[in-house]
Amino acid sequence: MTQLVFPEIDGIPLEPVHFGSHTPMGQKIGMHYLAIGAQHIGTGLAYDARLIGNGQSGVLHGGVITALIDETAGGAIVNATGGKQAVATVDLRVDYMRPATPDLPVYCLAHCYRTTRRIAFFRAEAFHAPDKPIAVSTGTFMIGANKTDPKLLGLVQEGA
Amino acid sequence: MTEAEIVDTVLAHMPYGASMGMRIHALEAGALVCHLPFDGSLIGNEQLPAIHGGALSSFMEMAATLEVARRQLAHLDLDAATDVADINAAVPVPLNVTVQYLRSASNADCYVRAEVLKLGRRSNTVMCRLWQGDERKAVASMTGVFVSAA
Repeated sequence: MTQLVFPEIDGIPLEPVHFGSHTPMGQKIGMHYLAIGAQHIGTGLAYDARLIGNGQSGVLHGGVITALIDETAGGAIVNATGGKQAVATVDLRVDYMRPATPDLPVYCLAHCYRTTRRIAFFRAEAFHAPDKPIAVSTGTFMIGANKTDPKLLGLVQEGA
Repeated sequence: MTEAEIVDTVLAHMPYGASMGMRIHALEAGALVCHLPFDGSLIGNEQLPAIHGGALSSFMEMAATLEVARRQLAHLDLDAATDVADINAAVPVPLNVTVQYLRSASNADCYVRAEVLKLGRRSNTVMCRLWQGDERKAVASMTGVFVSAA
């Protein structure tokens, strides 16, 4: 099993954590939460042959990267808004800069940089190493989108 | 190589499609319809329950890839039995995707219709519509640009 260690990123204080995604889809792609900051969440997943998009190249499918970005961004927004309200993705755009390299883990850092009463905005990058992004994404989430208790998503610490 | 052989061959060499459980539903004249049977492993919110946005975007992106491949590879003189490497090398890769989530996707099967808006020598623009029971009620949509393999 590949060791998932979230890289240090200049200027962004992140606390290391290590727990698996609480969602079945997050578990399917092997997603782990690795780092938490006030407005940031860092996650990662190990290379897995079941996630390959093209059997010829062995490159992970773009949809895996998008799924990783979507859940990481949702986590950053739940975290940045105090974990009291459920969130749901409104839209997201992903630009694929370069294919993921086979056998390497993929990390994702999402930043919730602006929240209003109903909407949160995020930027996110997926990468093997932070200076060479695989994909860059922006998008928006609805805050208070449904009656889900965000505490049950596992991101919010007891007593928070 | 027939269009059905193209999409079957490309999907057969897309392990992520198999792990999602994705199937070809219908080859239409100007679009490809794919089917994603519901499975508990696709859930993103167990309380609602709702399918994960990343599962929906993955499904649309794979359908879009298959439809661009069908349209692009139809012109090539390839054989599904012997030219698997060449077929996979010719599959387009995504440059960007933009996804809209319109409704929560419940614990039911999903369908997506992928249509190529512009087929180009270098880039291809695809639009996808995803629904569950009623096609008129779109659950998600995607526009993507896919670059033809060199």
